[in-house]
Amino acid sequence: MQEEYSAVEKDRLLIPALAGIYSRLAPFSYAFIRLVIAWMFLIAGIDKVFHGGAARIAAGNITSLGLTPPDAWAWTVALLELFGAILLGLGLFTRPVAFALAVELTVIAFGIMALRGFFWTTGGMEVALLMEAATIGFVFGGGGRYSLDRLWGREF
Amino acid sequence: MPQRSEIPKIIPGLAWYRPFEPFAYAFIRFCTGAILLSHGIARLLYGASIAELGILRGLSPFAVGTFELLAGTLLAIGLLTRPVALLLTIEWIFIAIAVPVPPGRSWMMLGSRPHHPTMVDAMCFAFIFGGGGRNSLDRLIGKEV
Repeated sequence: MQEEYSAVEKDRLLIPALAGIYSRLAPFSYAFIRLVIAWMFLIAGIDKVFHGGAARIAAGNITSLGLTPPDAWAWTVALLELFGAILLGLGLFTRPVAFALAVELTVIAFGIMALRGFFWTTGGMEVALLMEAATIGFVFGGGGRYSLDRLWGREF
Repeated sequence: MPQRSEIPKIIPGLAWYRPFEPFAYAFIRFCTGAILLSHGIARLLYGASIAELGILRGLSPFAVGTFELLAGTLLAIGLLTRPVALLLTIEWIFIAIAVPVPPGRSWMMLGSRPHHPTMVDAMCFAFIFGGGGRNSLDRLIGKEV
C-alpha cells in the first residue's frame, strides 16, 4: 500500500530519529497481517483435508447448521481454507479469495461460535470475528504492495 | 512494479470500489481495537477472570481491565498507535505462551482457538511498525510517537 505509508515524515514524529526505521518497516505491516491470517486458515485447511477434519465437520458443525449434502459442504470448506490460505498468503486473486473466506467466517462466527459465547477462552465468536474483520479489510485493500497481484500487475 | 492507482482491473466493472482501498488498513486496525476493548469491559463490568494471562494472573483485574479498555479504544481510533500496539503485543505474548500445548501435538497445528492469542499478538505487532496509517487520529493531529 504505497499511498498508505508514503508519508512517514520526520517533522511529525515526536522522536524524529525513528523516521528511518518506521519508513522502512511500515510498508510490510499490511502484508504481515495478510500472512498471519493466511497461516490461521492454512492450519485449519491442512487439518480438514489431510487429518480427517472434513469428515468431522460434516458430521458435526455442517450438520448442525442444516447444510445438505454435508460431505459436499465439508469438502468445499476444507478446500477453500487450504487453497484460500495459500492464495491469500501469496496475495494472488486476493479480493475474491478474501471475500469467500469472509462469507465462510460470517457463517462460522454467527452460526457456530456465537453459541459458545463471545470470548476466545470458551471458543467464542471473537476468534472468527477478528479473522472476518481482516478478510473484509483484504476485500477492500486487495493484495497491497507485496503480493503476486501487484507483481502481476492485474487485480480483481 | 505498478503503483496502486495504475493497476488494471481484471473485471473493469469492479473499479467502483477503488475509493475504499485506502481504508483497508484502518478498518482492520479499528476492528482489532474494538474486539480487544471488549475484554476490558468484561473484566471491569462483568468480573471476567484474568486466568488466561498466565504468569500475569496475579495482577489486579481492575488494572488489566482498565488497560485493555483504554488500549483497545486508542488502537481503534488510531491515537498513540505505536506505543499502544507495543503494550498490547507484550500483554498478548503472556496470554499466548500460557496456552497449554497437549503432549504429542505440534504447536503449529493447535487450531484456531488456541492460536487466537498468537494471531492477536501478531496483528498488534504489525500495528507497531504500521502505525496509525492514513485514517487515524495520529495522522489528523500531525504528531505521532
